[in-house]
Amino acid sequence: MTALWPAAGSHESGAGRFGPVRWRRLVSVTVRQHKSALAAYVAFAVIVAAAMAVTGLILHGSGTDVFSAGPHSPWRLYDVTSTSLRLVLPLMPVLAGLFLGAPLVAREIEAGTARFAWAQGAGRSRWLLATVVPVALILVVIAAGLGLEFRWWMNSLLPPDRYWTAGLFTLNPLPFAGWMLAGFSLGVMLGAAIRRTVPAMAGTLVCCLTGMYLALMWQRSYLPPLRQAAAQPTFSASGGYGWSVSSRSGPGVGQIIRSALGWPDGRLLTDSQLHHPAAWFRAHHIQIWLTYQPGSRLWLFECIEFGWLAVLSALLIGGTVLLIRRGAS
Amino acid sequence: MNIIESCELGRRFGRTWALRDCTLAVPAGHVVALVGPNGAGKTTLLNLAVGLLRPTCGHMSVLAGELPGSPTARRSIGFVAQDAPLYGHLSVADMLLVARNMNLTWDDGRARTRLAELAIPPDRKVRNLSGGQKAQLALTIAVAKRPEVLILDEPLATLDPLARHDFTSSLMVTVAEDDLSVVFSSHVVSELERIADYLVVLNNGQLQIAGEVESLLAGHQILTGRGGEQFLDSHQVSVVHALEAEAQTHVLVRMLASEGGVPGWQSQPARLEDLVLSYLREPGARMLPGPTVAAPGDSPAVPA
Repeated sequence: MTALWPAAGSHESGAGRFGPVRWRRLVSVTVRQHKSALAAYVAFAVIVAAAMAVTGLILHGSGTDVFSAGPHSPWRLYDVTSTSLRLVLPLMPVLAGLFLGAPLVAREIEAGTARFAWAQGAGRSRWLLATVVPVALILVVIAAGLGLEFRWWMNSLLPPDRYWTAGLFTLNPLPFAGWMLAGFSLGVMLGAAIRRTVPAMAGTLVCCLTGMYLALMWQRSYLPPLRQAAAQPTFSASGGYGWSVSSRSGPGVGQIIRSALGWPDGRLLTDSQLHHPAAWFRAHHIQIWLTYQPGSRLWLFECIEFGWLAVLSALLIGGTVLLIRRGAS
Repeated sequence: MNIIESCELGRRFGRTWALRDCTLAVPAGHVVALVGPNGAGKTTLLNLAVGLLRPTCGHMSVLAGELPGSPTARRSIGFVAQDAPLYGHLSVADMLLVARNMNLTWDDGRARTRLAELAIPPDRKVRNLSGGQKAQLALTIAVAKRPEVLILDEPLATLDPLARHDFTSSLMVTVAEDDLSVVFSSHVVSELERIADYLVVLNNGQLQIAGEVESLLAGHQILTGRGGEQFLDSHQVSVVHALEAEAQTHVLVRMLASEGGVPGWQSQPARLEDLVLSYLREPGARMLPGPTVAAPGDSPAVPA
């Protein structure tokens, strides 16, 4: 029995009027084609998530201070897990770019199957978007989930101001999702530009690691920092000064960018004034002034970081569409 | 209706012209053989026709005015690329499903029946199929789209003689069933006569011959005689290629006059293989009956 699909009468009125191939069907093509690579990546993410869940439950349920000494201190478990997570999690966007993004288009071109795919009814742009977007969405969900789990894992183990430190900020749910998206999109674009799988993977590795390193070095200042007077300094016999740890994370203080001695009106001391004796500081009510990002901005900064990374990813995918549309197979 | 029209079409890769000054009109309803040696520009021309490449210069349209690669063109043209690239890691059944989901029209029953007739197991991975089976699967996918035109790039190149015969036989059955127009490229000239009724010869990126096989053969003869080709009356024939030996000379000529032989020369009808090989050996020779092609924007061209 022969059946033409879809039924001739359902879409065709007159001479050959058809709409575009439906997204749902193209997405099913993507899933069928890339299920092995996706399954491997998801399995890796599940292993990381499971490790985080198990160690998190043990650490949170230990009932003792993680940082305390003693035979029953979970410090060792915390140390090993924390170090491992800080190494593995930032690599996940790189791995996504390397093993999912770069081969996505490059392998099709290299193997010649692009000549098959691009000559079918769906067309190049639709095929590319149907291939890239579902994988990107899956990666974003994975990253956001792992980011949330990592925040839960850190919760009560680390003070909230540590969420701001460069290495940990990118692991917050939204920035992590943004970096995942950017790593993947970069891989896709380099794959389409270089048109060879292994060189595209190498390029993705270099670019992603460079980007992650620069991000690590980068003090996020999406909004101008605030300043406030903190505690009175304490002075040692040698002439040095300090201030109590408890005042570091005062109410609303998220990330301390700088601390400096200053007059009560906020003007900071000059270098020569710093050499006065302790009595002079006390007599003039010299204070510690903190330049900081308030803790309430964490969510906003996460959104901003995700936003620009999402825009960057959209530009990279847009560039890939142009490359694919204009390029040869 | 012309299924392919081009006007001064050219495509350059770097500094090398793969195709240049190609003005062509291929009418519908034929099995067209696109012949030429390696590097002649056959694949370039076909890739331009299916929209996988864009021309460097000139204009091309398919299916009477459609831009190559446009949605209508993609829907109406079934294409099998060189080496029949398919997803090797998928099973045959999954490959059919993928192809079905990438197209607007799909005759699933026909695809499955065809594969069953060819004894291609649906659960076998595509990479484990033989060359002939892979070519047949690619043809099945192209045909299941129910296209108006089938474009095949070197479908016979990697096949052994038996698989080649099976492939061409099943192709001819499909053509007869569906009233398809077919354009296929090949440098295997020995089997053309059995399949093709329209011939296009490309050489060094330029068009040499275009026309119906019957009229091309009727317009050429092989002359055998003593003496060189210079003894031929240039008013009656145009020498395409001469093979001079000590005893006699064999010359493929294009007949300028419709009737009559050449005195002193023994004539016999040209075979397609002789004709193709003679033209390929003389890249400067042309036999273009002059299909008129409209300039871009004009009404569709009318074949001569």
